Amino acid sequence: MAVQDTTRMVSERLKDAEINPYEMMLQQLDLVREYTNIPDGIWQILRNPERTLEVSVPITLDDGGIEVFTGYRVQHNSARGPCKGGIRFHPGVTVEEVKALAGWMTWKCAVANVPYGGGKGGISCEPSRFTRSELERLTRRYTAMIYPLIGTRRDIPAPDVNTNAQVMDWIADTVQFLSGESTPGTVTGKSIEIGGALGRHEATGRGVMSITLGVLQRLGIDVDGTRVAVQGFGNVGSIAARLLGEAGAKIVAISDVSGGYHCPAGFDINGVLSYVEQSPGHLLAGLSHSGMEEISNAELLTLDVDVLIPAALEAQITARNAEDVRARVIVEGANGPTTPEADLILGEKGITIVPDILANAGGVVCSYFEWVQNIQCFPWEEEETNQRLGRILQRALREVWTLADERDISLRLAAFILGVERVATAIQLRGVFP
Amino acid sequence: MSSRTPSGLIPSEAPSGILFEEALECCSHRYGLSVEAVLRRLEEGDCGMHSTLRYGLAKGLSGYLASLGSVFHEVYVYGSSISESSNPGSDIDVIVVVEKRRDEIANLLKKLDLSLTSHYRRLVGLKRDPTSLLDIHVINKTEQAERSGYGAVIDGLHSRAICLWRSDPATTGASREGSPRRSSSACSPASMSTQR
Repeated sequence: MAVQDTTRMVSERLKDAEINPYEMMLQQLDLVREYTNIPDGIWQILRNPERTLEVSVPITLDDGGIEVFTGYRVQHNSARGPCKGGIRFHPGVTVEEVKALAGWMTWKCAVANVPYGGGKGGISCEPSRFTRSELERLTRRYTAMIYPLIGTRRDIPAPDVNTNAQVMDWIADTVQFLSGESTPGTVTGKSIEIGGALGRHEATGRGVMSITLGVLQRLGIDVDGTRVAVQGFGNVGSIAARLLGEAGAKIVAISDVSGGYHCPAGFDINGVLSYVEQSPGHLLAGLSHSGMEEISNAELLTLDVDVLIPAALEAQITARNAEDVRARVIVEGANGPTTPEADLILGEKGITIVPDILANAGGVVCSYFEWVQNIQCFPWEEEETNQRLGRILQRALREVWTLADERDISLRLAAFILGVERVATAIQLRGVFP
Repeated sequence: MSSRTPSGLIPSEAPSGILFEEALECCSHRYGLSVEAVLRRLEEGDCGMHSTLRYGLAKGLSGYLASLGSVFHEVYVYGSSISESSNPGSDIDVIVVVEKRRDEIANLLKKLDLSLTSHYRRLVGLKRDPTSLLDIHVINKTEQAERSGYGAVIDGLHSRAICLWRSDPATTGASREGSPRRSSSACSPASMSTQR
């Protein structure tokens, strides 16, 4: 039989074969187990989400037709506090994915040591198909369907893939009308005008900056003149670049979906931000800057720099390019930019990788601040948010760094261990009801 | 998966489909059967066929690990995969020798296992079992030299571990293609025994 026939036959059999994301979450948990002494019973609790709700979400389309979508809300664990996690609208949303992401939020909140458990929600849909009014009806109906689970002291949604402040505002409004009470703390990531936190927009990028500075200090690298490359010039990358520039670093490379640019002397980031603000699609395309050359996104990753911040898409640093990465430090601003193979190769090269679960935790920490302000009905100045954010992230970095040092393990595993152990301890202290 | 996948949920890059294709071709060559017939035999639980498939997969896996540079030094297979006694639920017993055990290695091997197990279940039409297709033990050079733990299995009197790949100090780290290439290498355990 020809090789092509084998390929065809295997392809047919393996069509749509996908790795179950929840099984992957469990494997990560199993790896942590090899490094901890968590009792078996507690382990069984950690392996299973507390609640999984599947809902049918019918909406009336603008043309009068009715369409039904499937949505989910999963609460993975609430031992450390009410569940916290975003809501995503995407055709790829499945219950297994939502379960896995809810578990991820449990560890993430625990690593940052904010008093939350983990949750996640989503609707399997293509939101770009909807008009604004259809999207509003979808959001409100979904909110009504998951209403029995969510609440200020129970489970607090936030924005995620294809959801934004407007969607959160609709959720807050729907909950208010269903409950008959003003409870802005039911959801975070809202518009400032109805209880959103000042500083929320910058929080993830500011967190990346704070973590980067903390790592440089630990490695004995002076921030002044430190060469930084940032892949992705969206909300996270551009803000991290601006703030690192203000701290003394030299931003020598930037990129977005339209291409990349290298300027060994360093960019005037405020000038670049002004350009992007006015450019079509808010992209870097067409940027001009003295001493600058155009590069590809792939070339940016292998530049001779001190710090590399992948803040764009997942799986950017892979087995194919990891050997060529020359940065001393990688701070994962995006989720999952490094594949397991690349992790291995970069570790062998002695490159310090700050994992996403810690590096981009600024967003969830600021969500926590929004919730606190909503509960207290006492909004903070932006400066206060920024200061507290820095303190919480520096504490988390210190704890993860110390654990990695003590056990001679990667920062990634140390962060997981810290998160999982904190949740396990909370479960043990509470005991099992009844 | 939708986008913005956190690192804990990023799968291995290993080309599972190609690894299975090569392993099926091993079976096809060894038994002189079409791949279709091989798949039927696998579904029927033919022990010899399952052992050959597993041996072929282990060989492909060793090629993949070799492509990742200087981390891995040697890869061995032992157990039912080389004794014609595998059944549909059997795992593949593998020993990898590394310079130093690191958590990144354990993480990658777990993700490789999950990927291959998911694809294996799909290929052979199994619902749940095996929960894990790979049973990989990582040992360092010292354990190998002192024959401690699984280091003893490599040269054991009662077990027969076959070396699938050994790094060449002269070329270590020189090649990194990201995926194994098709090869016409030996498909049956017996033909590899001289490499012990």
